[in-house]
Amino acid sequence: MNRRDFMHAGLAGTLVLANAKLWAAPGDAKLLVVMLRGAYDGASLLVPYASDFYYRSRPSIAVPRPGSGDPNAAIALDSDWALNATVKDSLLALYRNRQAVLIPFSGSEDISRSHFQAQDLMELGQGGGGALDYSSGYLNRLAETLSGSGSRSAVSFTNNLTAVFKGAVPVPNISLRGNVKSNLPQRQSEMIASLYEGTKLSGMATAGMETKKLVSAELMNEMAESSRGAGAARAFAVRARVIAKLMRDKPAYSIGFVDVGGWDTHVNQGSAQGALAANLSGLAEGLSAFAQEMGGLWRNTVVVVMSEFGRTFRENGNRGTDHGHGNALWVLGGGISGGRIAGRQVAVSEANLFQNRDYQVLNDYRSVLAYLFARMYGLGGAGLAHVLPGAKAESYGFI
Amino acid sequence: MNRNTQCAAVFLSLLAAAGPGRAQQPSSQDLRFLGRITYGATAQDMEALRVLGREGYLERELVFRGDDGLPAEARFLIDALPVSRTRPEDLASQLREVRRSAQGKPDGQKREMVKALRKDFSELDFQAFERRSVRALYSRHQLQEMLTWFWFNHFNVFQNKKQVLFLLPDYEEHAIRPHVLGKFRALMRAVLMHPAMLVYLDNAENARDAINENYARELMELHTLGVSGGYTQADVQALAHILTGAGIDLSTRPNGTYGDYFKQGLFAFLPNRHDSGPKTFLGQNFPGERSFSEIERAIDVLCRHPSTAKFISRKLAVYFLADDPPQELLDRAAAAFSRTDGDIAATLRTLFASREFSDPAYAGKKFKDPVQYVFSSIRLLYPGQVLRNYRPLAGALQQLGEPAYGRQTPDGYGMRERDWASSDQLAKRFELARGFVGGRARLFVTREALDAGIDPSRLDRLREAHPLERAAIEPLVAPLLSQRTKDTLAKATNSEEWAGLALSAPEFMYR
Repeated sequence: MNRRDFMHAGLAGTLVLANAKLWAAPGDAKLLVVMLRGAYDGASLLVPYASDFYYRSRPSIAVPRPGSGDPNAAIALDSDWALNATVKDSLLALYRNRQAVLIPFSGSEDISRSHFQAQDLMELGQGGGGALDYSSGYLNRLAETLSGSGSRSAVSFTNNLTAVFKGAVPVPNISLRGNVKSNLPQRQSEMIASLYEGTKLSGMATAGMETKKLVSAELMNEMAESSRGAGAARAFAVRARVIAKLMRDKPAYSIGFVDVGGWDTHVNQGSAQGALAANLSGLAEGLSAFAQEMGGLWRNTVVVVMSEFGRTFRENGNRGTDHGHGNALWVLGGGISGGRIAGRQVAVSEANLFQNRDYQVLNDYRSVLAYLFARMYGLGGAGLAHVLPGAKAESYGFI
Repeated sequence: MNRNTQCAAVFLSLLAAAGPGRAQQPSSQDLRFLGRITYGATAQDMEALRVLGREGYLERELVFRGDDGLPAEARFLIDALPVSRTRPEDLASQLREVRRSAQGKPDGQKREMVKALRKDFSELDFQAFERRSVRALYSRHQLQEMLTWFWFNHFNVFQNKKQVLFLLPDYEEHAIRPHVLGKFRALMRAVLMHPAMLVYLDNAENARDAINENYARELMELHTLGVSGGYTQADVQALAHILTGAGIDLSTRPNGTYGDYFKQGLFAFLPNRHDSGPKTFLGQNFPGERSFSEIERAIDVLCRHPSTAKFISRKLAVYFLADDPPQELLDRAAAAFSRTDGDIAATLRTLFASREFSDPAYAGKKFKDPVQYVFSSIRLLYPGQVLRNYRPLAGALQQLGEPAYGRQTPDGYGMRERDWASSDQLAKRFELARGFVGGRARLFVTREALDAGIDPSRLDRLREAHPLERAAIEPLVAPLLSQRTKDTLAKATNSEEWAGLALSAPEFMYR
């Protein structure tokens, strides 16, 4: 019997948060949530290399075992798990510096296996079952709950405002793709603001024009220039650096959200070498660049990376994978106790698959977020229940 | 009144309207009515509505009329586009040719050859965007052009996925557009039998010993039943098995039936890849056949499913009426869909002729998506002045987050206010509005001429040749504006500033 047949010690205990010392000074904590749209194949990133079943299930797309001599062999983290070598200089380096945690068997209760339904569910911060309630997303509720305690506010680094930020608090967005520099003369901005006065779009209209001024033209230029000719994977690194500069230099931007697409790998996914490997490396390099760019603030920063669900454990007929269930969630941060695999685990075997096809979900994404918010912001009781209704804040022991 | 006499009547009334006697101010109700079933009402649309009445106008619009409604200048532009004369079979031959001549060449050179070919294909896609834009801006039959966007978006494919790049113009032109007002089944079948969809959702790779669920799942979730439409994971797998063999054949083999195999364009049913074993799909027994008829039957089951009637009629109502349409109207529309065996025009007639559609409570409440915003801006500013350069429009759509053929995921672009209203979106629209006005000279010169380097004095002359006709524009927006907006616009010091502000007004963000 594998050690993962048991719950990890400490997990069963309930958190006593009210008395716990907070992780960062109130008001200093920065949070960036990264949503990987399309369901990334966590089993190609965090490789269960001790499982023969993994290699039997993926004859043509498994990431080679550590020590197999293959140039793309995974790099062992412990006796069960290894990381894809494509993230050697990025995610692995963070992990070895105790600044990264990986949580396998995580995800939501969604079983529709619909990207769009599952993404919405996750951004709204809802549990499974019942109709989706689009009135607010969990990061908006977080900003709302924290708004009483200082100048924390949120910003979305997306082209449009997605479900995660819908809600009571007006949240500006900054598209990091495509750039229209502000050419509006002051007189015209004022007239436009006057056109919107008293309308429901008033807040958005003025925030949009103000944000354009706030995000300096130099920064946008830098991004436009450095992303010129960059491939899709490299493009994220450029965006991540700009996000870091904005979150570092603008005290108001303390809760951020960004999404990255291109993970729906049904055909020739290229786990160790190919499209998926390139995407993973681009993502991890981007987040390393983000960490570096945050400078001293990295100590107070947490990055959460998640995806709407995982992929089938077995490869499909086309050296790809179809829609699955559980996945590996990442938490990065300069001040976390990283360098570990966290959360509940079971042995990676056929008997332990969900519906005989996918990783199980043993670590609900909402319980991970609840744990983080409790530790980062001292949220508990009614506050936490408002942000993530019904979520259990269990200890994952890394912050 | 038949179509010819209708057209004649409109023509005569337009002649009459050109005379000094025209003082008919558009009413805000008529502007709101047309605002939702056109890319922005022009004086010509208002006149057609006046002459035909709402019922007559709707009946005219609920029939697909191809390019009949285009002015000669616009039709000439489309005819001159190489994409109008290119068949996907020819492009497949080009692809084959390049692959053949690349054989044995060094990798770097191979890459360059493929890159050059993809660039040519991208140019054809851009021409498809030009064709789409010309029709959207200048066709009298606006509804069918909105529906072409709607159904393409419903059955979305992404330009940059593999061979979709060269299959896309034909997909829009022949699988989508002729069916936008026809039977849903014909549309869905044409999509299923088009290589662009089969490549995009990987069914070209789906075979009996190499199952790929991608298309099967999205076909139910996004194209027909909806995510809560009552299918299970087992149904996804069953449909994936049924769909095996629906694939592509890029060879030069002529169209036709060869035993169980048949080919139509680049589509082929490949019996050797088809799983002819028995299946149970949505509670029905499929005994298993080595022919396309099994797929035909699955299409029937999906198109006649009550969930499809609900899902499709709701989506149409969301696009044309309200983000959250009233259930009672949805029930009537779904009933019309079912009663007519999925007739799209009949379903739309139920929506458009409904009390709710004319109810002021639903007027002017739909937030324009970027496509509607950009097209309605151009139609308002430059009615009938056919653009020469569509790159600024493509750029605007890119900036606003709705690039043509650029949605990577099969759900298509969102159609609700929550999908588009954001601070960044509004700020960009304010900048673009200024550009459409102040930078208009670039709209009226070809991109080739611009790329070659154009004399600034020629741009100045173009500006003068395309003045902003405030007196013609104003009657088409003024009835929609609040007193506050009117007061602010009154402070504009010239017609350019006025027009830039009008396109930035909150009322212009809605239709």
